[in-house]
Amino acid sequence: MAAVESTRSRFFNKVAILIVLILTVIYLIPLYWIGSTAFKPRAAATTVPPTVFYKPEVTPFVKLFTKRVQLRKAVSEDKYEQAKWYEKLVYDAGERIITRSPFLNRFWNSIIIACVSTFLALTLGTFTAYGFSRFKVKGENDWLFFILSTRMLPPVVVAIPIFLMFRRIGLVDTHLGLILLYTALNLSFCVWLMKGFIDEIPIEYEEAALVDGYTRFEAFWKIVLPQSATGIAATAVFSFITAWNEYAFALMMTNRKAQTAPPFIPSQLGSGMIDWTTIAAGTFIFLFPVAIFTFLLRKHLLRGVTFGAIRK
Amino acid sequence: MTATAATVRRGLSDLAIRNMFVIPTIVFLILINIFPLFYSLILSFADYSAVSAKPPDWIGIQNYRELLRDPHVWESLYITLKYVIISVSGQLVVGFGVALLLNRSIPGKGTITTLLLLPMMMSMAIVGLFWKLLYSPSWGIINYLLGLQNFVWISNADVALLAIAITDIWMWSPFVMLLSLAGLSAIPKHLYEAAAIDRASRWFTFRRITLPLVTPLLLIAVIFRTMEAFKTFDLAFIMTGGGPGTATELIAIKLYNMAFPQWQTGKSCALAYILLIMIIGISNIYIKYLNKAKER
Amino acid sequence: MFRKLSAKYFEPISMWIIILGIVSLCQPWVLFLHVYGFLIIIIGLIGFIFFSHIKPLPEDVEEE
Repeated sequence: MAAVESTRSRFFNKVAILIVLILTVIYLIPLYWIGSTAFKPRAAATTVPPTVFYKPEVTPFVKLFTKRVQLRKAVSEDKYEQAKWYEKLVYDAGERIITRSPFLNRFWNSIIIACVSTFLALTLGTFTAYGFSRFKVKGENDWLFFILSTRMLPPVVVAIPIFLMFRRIGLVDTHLGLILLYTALNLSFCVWLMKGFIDEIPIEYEEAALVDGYTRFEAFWKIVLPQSATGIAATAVFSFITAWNEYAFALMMTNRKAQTAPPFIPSQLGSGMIDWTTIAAGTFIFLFPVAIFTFLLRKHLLRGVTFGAIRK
Repeated sequence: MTATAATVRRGLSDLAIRNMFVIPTIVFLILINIFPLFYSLILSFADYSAVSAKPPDWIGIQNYRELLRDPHVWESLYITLKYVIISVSGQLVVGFGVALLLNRSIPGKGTITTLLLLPMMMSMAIVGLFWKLLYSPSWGIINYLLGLQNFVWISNADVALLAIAITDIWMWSPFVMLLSLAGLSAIPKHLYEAAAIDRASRWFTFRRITLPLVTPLLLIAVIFRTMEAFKTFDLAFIMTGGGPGTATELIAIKLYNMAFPQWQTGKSCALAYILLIMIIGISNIYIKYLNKAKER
Repeated sequence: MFRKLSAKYFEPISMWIIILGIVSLCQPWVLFLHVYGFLIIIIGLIGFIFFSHIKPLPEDVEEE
C-alpha cells in the first residue's frame, strides 16, 4: 500500500514539474516575441504564420534613434560606399536618415529623473526609517500608515491638483517637477522597506558605539548605514524601477522637454514612419535593464512587493 | 563637539536627531500629496474649469449629486467592478495554482520563479503596448497560437475588457504566486507527515492544513491587487484608451478624460474624491492585514 | 469592555460596511444603492478609522 502510494506521488510530482515547465514557456512567449521582433526585418514582423527563423538585424534599433524619409530613387553607388554602417542599413530598407530622433533624449530624461528621485527618496527615507526604528514617536503607527497611504493614491487623482499647482509655479514639463513627484512616490516605499532592514540590525551595536563616545549621528552613519548596505541597494533598485516604469504622471505632467520613455514609446505608434519592429526595439531597450535588475533583486522581491512587511 | 560629563551625550540630543530625521519626510509628503488633495477637495465644491478665465463658482455638493446620478459614471464604475472581478480572480487562480505546483523540489526552481516574476517588474504602459502587438487580429501571435483566425480582440467591444484583464493576469499572477509560495513554504513539514499517518485525503489536507495557513498572505495579495485593479489606468489607456466606444472606460480613464481633455476641473475633482474614498477604504483594510501578517 | 467589543465586532463590521459601500456604488442594478454607496463607504471608513484606534490594550503613554 505504502509503495503504491509513493509511486503515485512520485508520478504526480513529475507531472507537476512538467506542467510548471510548460507554463513557464507559455509565460515567456510574449517576452520572447517582443525580443525577437526587435531584431526582425520589417517585412518579417507581420507575417502569417509568424516568422520564427530569420536573419537577425539591428536595423530596427538604427531606425529607433533616427528620423528618416523614404528614398525617391536608389542611392548612387559611391554614396552608398561612403556611408557609415548604420546609414547603409537604412539605405537597404529604402530610406534616408535626416536627423536624430528624440528617443535618445527621452531615454536620457528617464535615466536622470529616475536616478535623482531615487537618490532623494532613499536619503530622506533612510533617515526617517532610522528615526521610526530607533526612537519612540508619538502615534508611530499612524504616521507610518499615513506615509504608506500616500503610495496608494491613484496617480490620476493626485495629478489634477498637482497639475494646476505646477502650472502656476511653472513646473509643468520640467525635470524638477517629475523628480519631486517620483520622490514623493518612492519616499513612502523607502521608509517602509528601510525600516524593515534597520529593524533587523541589533540595537546593541549602536549602544556599544554610544558608550564608546560616538554621537547618535556618528553611530547612525558609521554603524547602521554600513550594516544596512544590502538593504539600501535593494531599496534603491526598487525605487529606480518604480520611477523608470511610471507612466501616468509622466503622461500628464510632461509633453516634450522632460518627457520620459514610457509615454514616448507608445506615442510613436501613430506617426507613420515608425513600424512595429522599431517599437519592439524601443521596448527591448527599455525593458532590458529591468530584467537585469529583477535577477539581481530576486532574493528581496517578496520584501519589496509587500513594503517590507513580509521577510520570509 | 566637546567632551562633557559622561552622562551627557555629545552632539545632538536624541530628540533633535529624531525630529531632524522624521520631520522632513512628513513635511515633504504633506506638501506633495496632502496639500494638493485639500486643494482638489475645495475645487470639488466648485463649478470651475482650469482653462477658462472664469473664477470658481461655489455650488456646494452639486458636483457629487450630478456625478452620482450620471449614467455614464455609473456605467464606468460597473465596468471597473467587472474588470476588478475578472482580473483579480484570474490572478488568484493562476497565481495560487502555479504556487501549488511549484511548491516542491524542482531542478532550477529559483531561476523558474525569477523568470515568472519578470512581467511584474515591467512598466504597465510598455507591457500594454506590446500586448497590443500580440493581440493584432491578422498577424498577432495570440490568434495564431489559439488558432483563431482574424479574431478581433482590442477593437471588439465584447472582449476588449477581457483582453486587458488577460494582460493584467499575465502581468500580476506572479505577484499572487510569490506571496502564496512564501506562505506555502512556511508550513511546517510535520503537519503534512501527521496528516499522511492519519491517511487524510489530499483534499482534506489541503482544506485543513494548506488553506488556513496560506490565507493571511493570500488575502494580502488579493486586497492589494483589488486596490490596484480599481486604480488601473496605464494598461487600459495604452491598450484601448477607453474604447471601443465606452466599452473599457474604467473609472480612472473616465476621470482622466474629464480632467484633461475636457477640462471639467471642478467636477473631475469630485469624481477623483469618489475614487479616492474607495481606494482609501481598501488601503485601510490592506494595511490592517499587512500589519497582522507582520506581527506573526 | 467597550474596547474589547470594538476590536471584536465594530472594527470588522465597519470593514464590511466599506466593502458593502464599494459594491453598492459599482453594482449596475439598483440606482438607490449606487447613489448612496459613496455615503456608505464614508460611514464605514470613519467607523473603521475610529474603531481601529480603540485597541483592547491601553495605548502606551508617550514621553515627549
